[in-house]
Amino acid sequence: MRLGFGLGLQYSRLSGGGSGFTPSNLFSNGVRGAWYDPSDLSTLFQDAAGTTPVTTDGDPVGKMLDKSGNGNHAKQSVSGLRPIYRTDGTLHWLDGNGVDDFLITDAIAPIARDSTGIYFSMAAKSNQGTLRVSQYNASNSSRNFSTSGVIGDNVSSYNAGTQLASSFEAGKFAIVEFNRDNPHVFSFKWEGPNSYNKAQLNNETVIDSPETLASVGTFTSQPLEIFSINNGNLLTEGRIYGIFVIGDVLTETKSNSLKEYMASKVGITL
Amino acid sequence: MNTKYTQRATIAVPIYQIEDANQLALCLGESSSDDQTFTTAKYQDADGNLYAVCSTVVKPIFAEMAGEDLQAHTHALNVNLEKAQRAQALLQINEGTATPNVIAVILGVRLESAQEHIQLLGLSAVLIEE
Repeated sequence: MRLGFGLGLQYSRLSGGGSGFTPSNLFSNGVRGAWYDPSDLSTLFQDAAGTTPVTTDGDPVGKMLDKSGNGNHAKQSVSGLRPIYRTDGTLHWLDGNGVDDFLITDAIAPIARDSTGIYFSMAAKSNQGTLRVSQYNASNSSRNFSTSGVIGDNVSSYNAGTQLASSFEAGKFAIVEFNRDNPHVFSFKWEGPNSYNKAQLNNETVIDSPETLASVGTFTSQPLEIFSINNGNLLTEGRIYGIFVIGDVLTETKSNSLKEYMASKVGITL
Repeated sequence: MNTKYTQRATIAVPIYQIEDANQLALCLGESSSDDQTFTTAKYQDADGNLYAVCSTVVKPIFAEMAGEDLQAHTHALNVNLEKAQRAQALLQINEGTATPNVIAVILGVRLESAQEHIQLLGLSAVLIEE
């Protein structure tokens, strides 16, 4: 079944998310951000122009529509650099090969801002390293957000949060190590100036960064990238089952509902 | 319905062949942007020679086209066929590890891992600072 783009379905009745939870409502009233959902085939296309739909397991993905209503569609115009749509008949995901696959939007207004903070949630399974998603300025002259990671022998680690002007300085970001190959929901939030980067792996709070982040540096327009940071310069191998990037501070109720919804996408129960 | 992309090709281009290889990619690929397939040389062999690598699912016609006379397709009318043909002459499909004087390709079934192909090519990633 192909679900229509932007339908306000009450997903709780379909696949988790708590009573009455409607993901699209997270973006009501002009909230910036992006929502990518590989289980919705109506949002996937083989080419960057969006003319050839993805229809079956193994098709390359050249365009993934943003379901948030913000128009932040992610594309890959080079045919050899496209992630693959995969499904086992129940779950649906994008496979990134860690060599060259990534999707990227046009440069968009910063989603993380002092006035609204940011909330990020991703349903994922990493084969090697960490599933990178970012809106990131390679020059480090401005602030944005990034998830990145370190490739270890048996573990992956997230290094995520809202960036300071200079870099993700030690101790000021969120970092967590976890067993590779574990399907998981990774979330982080930054609530604005003088707040912390906080991160959760499933329901476990894995970090409250030890120092608050002052409002330093400028947020600039950058592309949003999936499977990569810095315009495809750093990539990782693994599966992404869903992504939310929300320019808003979520209530705990909404945050928990979103995590439950994302857990259903990756096939786990929180 | 089964996908038409039933194979995986992993292609190692020596750093000095990137320009020609991108014209070949334009000939064999499906997009007018395929001349940007090979960019940074992020992999190296045991001797430290650098390569740009692309790993992607392909249709079976890929291997056929790679061995035929090259043509400028509608998505790539401005392709430089001379450069593409130079790169084509260097292609070696499933003939061993990458070396600086060939464009080595590992061609397998679609579910094979890109990382495994890179091992078969005898390459490892060059560490890049975050």
